[in-house]
Formats: sequence, structure tokens, C-alpha cells
Amino acid sequence: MTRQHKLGHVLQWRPMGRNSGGHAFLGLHLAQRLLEQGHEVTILNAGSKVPRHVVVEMREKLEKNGPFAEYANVKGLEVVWGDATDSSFLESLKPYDVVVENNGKDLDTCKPLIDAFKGRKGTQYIFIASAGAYKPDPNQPPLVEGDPRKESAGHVAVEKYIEQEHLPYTVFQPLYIYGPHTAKDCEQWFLDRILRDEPVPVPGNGLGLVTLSHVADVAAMVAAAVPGKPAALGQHFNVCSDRAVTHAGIVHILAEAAGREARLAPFDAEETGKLKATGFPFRPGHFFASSDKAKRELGWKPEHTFTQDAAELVEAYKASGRLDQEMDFSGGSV
Amino acid sequence: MASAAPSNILMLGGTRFIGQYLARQLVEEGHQVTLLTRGKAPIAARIPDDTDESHAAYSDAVQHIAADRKDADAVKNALKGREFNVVYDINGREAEEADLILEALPSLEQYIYCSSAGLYKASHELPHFETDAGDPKSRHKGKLNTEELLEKRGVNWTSIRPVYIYGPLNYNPVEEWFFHRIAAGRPILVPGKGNQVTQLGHVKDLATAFRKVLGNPKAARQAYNISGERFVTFDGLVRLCAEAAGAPEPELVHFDPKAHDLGKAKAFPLRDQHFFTSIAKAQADLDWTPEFDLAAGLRDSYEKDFSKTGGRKKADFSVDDLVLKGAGKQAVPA
Repeated sequence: MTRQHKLGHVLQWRPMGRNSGGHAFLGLHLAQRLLEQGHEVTILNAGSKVPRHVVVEMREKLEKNGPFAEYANVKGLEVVWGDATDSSFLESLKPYDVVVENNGKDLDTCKPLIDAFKGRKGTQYIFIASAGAYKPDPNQPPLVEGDPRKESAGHVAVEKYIEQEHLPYTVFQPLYIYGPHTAKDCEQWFLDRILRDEPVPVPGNGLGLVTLSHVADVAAMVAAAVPGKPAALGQHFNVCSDRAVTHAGIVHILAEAAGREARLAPFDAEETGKLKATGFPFRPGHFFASSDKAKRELGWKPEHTFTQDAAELVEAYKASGRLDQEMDFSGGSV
Repeated sequence: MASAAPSNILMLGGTRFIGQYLARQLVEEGHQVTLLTRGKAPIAARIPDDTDESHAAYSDAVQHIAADRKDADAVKNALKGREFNVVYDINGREAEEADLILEALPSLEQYIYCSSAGLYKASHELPHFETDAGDPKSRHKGKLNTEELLEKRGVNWTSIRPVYIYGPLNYNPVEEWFFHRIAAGRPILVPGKGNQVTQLGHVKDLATAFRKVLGNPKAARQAYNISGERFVTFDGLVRLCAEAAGAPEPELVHFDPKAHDLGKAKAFPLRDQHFFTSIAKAQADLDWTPEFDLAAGLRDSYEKDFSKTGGRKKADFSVDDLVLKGAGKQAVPA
């Protein structure tokens, strides 16, 4: 039985050509998942306060690569390009049962959309926020829903606003995500080095724990909250795999999958400028979370682990042609 | 969930730590409890939580069989003609020990075994789930072998895998290790960077979990990780112990364990690696969740035990001094 709920799936890109690739990639997988579940999905790609003809130009450029290039392959997907901070444009959009804010990180960007839909009866607002909004506890590192947040975090301001406006909402807090059509480096940074037999810089002793999640698992969790699942309303959920992996462990896992030697180059992440110079793609300390709440309340479970995906990730890297690129590691060498 | 129908329970061990709490809970729940021990330790020693009444009631109710469980003949004779329907094996280390009991008591309804999360094979991906592989070469291989034997023998078994246990009456120097140094105003030596993540569980929460598996159909032939809900770093544990003792944050000295030849002596009470498990399975199946968070649990241990007794072992800082000397540091005079 297919549901006939209509969904709005909002995806914004920022002007000046800098696309929010990380979010667009999740948006693509989420759209696919929701379509499979029988929903109608519209992706809104927008820039704030950018004239329409500029949006169209940027669209032509963007649709050449990354997640945007995949839109044509997703059957039944409606894609709209416009300005999501233009309230009259937003008013013109058809009614939606669910709105997914998959781009905005602060109240200025998110407010127009919230205001456009808050009045409309029964619209559920799903906010793809970030686990980066947690205030890390130096003693007990795992991030758990309900833990203190950084008051200054833009995401927190958005959450406060949606609560204040009494919009039925669900907030998802992802960590790092990998998978097909991503626009942001995850395992690729490691493979750049492993496949060129270069040592891999890791902060400190390489014991930092990080949760890496496959985009399909992330999309599945968000889709599980749709539409308006009672257990999901008014709730926050961490979106992540149920396993964390160490920074050194990532190197070992990928090296084994690639049939290469794992070589680590530990560096002091606290030395000024060092972390940036290496380009290490993750926070240097522990950054992992529990997804127990989603398992309990949404009946979701992850299908992927990083170890199981490693071989596929190596193949995808090789197939992308990235291995042919010349790379200079001298800037980040230790 | 209703408590189990009254059982005739044989507990192997039970006069120290876990057993002392568990046996009391079982007696209070209306079961007949018999402890099988050599008789070296008093059968029903008073514990900090006891009142005169509760201690008297427990002493009157609990039964004892004197036997050395490693002595096959002694066990056979001691259990001849005895009818127990449940065994709690609290102190078994090797499979042969459990085998003896199974032979002597062939019609058991349930064999509940105190195993250990130490049996897990070290992995890059954590936390450990109960489905993770055991390590046949680990120091805890006896526990793994015992679990395998129980499954092979076809008895209705349940295995409990604690991580680090703490609480009043702990005979392992876990929290006591830190309390001694905090009390002496000494620096605390932590191997590596102190970012290793581990997990501690209060003994009372463990006892409750043990009680909840009794007669529980969900627990049939299942293993459960049992510990506290949150994980803690080594540095974090030191800070929380100091808070529990009402002391200022001690000086943390990070040392390289490889730089010092200490022979068999330990410079730190916990294994120098990440070591933590998910307790979600127990939370789902057993209607159980830890009551103590680590801060409250350490305070409980400090107030009821260490502050009054100074712990089970006398303070010995000789290894600390060796390491400090090797690291070119002076200990703060007491």
C-alpha cells in the first residue's frame, strides 16, 4: 500500500558557488528512500536572496557533478530551483505534509521556511542539524540525546524557534557520513595516502574515536520518522552507526581492504596550525554518539559497518579516477 | 515484570563482592539461597548497606555447603541428593569447573554464569556487542570456554559479561587505586594520553541484572554485557574519582608504558586500550537499566567503603615512584 502523503524536501545551496555538498548528498539518498516508500518528493534547491536567472545559471553548473548530477536518475523526483528565503516564493509552493530542512545551520537561513509552513495545518518539520552542536564532555565522551548543547550553535537557535512556534518537529543530529555521490571527503582523504603508499597523519596517538555512518543508514533513519510518526515528534535523534572506530583503526581497516601496509604519521593536533596543515578530515578528539534512542523509538537499525564497507569504498575510490591525480603531501607531512 | 517463582538456588561463591549483593536480593525476593564455598570467608558478613535487621534476616536465611569446587570428589559428595533448580556460578573460571556442577546437577532449569567482557577479541570498531567474536587467546579464555561448554551441554544457560565492576567491597583495586593516590595527594600516573575509553559498572546494578535473568525466557541461552551506561576516558575517571572523594583535581602525569621496565608490576589498574560494550541488549530484554551513573556510583563507593576502611589493599606507591623517577619527576610529598 503506497502512501499518498506529499513531502517537501528542502535542500539549499549557498550562493557564490559554494554548494552545501555534504547535505545535498544526504538529500539525494533520502529522496530516493522516501520515493521507494511511496511518498511524493520535491527537492528545493535554492540560494538566499539570489535573482532567479543567477539560480538557473548556477543550476546548470551544479548539475554537472556530485549529488546534483544524479537527480535525472531518480525516477519520480521533482526538483525546484528558487529562493528559500523569499517568503512569497515559499507561499506559492504547494502544501506539504513534511518539510525537511537539510541545509540551514542558523536561524536566519531557516526562519523563512519555518514561517512559511508553521501556519499550515499538520506540517511536520524535520531538521537535519548536527551532533557538532553538543557540548563535548571531556570525561565521558559519547554524545547522548539530552546532553548539553553549545548555546552559541546556530542549530540550537533554530531548534528553539521551532519549539517556540509549536511546529511538530523532529531533529536529527548526524555525525560524519560516507557513501556514493558524496561531495565531502571522508575515507577518500585516507585513501589518497594509503593508495600512494604515503604515511597517514593521525592526531595524537590515533586513538580518537569517531562514528562514521553510511548515507543509506542515515537516510533510512530520517525516513523512519516520516510522516509524523508519533514517537518521533518533539524528539531529537542522533543519526549514526552503532559502532565507533579509531582514527588509527580507519587506516588499518582501509589498508587491509586495499592490500597495502598501514603506515601512521602521528602529529600533535594542539600545535597551532598543524591540524589544518594536514587536512585531517575529522575533529581531532573523540566524536562519537549513541544511536540507541533511534533503535528503540523508531525501530531503526544500521545495515552497514565501516569495516564491511571498506572494500567497496576502496573500489569506488579507484573507479573515480582520483588515484590518477597528482598529490603533494609536503604541506601536511610530519 | 513480576519476579521469578521461588527457586532453590545454588550459588558458587557468594561471600565476596557481587555475590554478597546478589544473594541478598535473591533472598529478599523469596528464593532459597545456598552458597557453596570453601568456607574461608564468613558466610554472611555484614555489608555497608545492611541494617541490624536486614543482616540478621539474611544470616538466618542463607544456607551454606562447604566444598572446594576444584575438587571433583568433594563437589560430587557435597551435591549428592541435593535438589537445586538454578545455579548462579559467580566464581567459575574454567570450563571443567562448570562441567562438574552440571554432572552433579543434571536437571537444572537455569545455569547463570558470571563471565567477562574481557573475552571479546580486540577490535577497531567499538562498542562490543554480544555477537562479537571472543578471543580464544585472551586471559579470559576460560570464560569463553565455559560459555561454549554450557551451550554444548544443552542446559538453559545465561551468561553475564561485566566490564569493570566497582562499588563498596570491591576486592579488585579499581576505584581504590585512584582513591589511595588522591588521599595521599600524589600525582596520578595515566598511560599514554589518557584518552583511552573504558566503562565501569556499579556492583549493585550488576546484582540486579543477575537477578532479572532468573526465570526470564528472553534470557534463555543468551549473553548480556552489563555495565554502566556511559563510557569514560582514563583522564575522566581520575577526575571523577577526585570529585567523588571531594578532593581537588589531582596532577595527571601521562607516561609511556613502553619506556619503563616494570616486570609484572602494574602502573595502572585498567588495560591500556579502549574497552567498552553496549548494554542495549540487556536494557531491551531484562527490564533493567543502571541506577548509578559513574559520578554517583563512585561517590557511593567512596562514602560507604574507602572513606571508612581505606580499601582492601594497603597503599603501595613503589611502582608509581619508579615511573615518576624514570620520567624525571618527583612525587609530591604526602
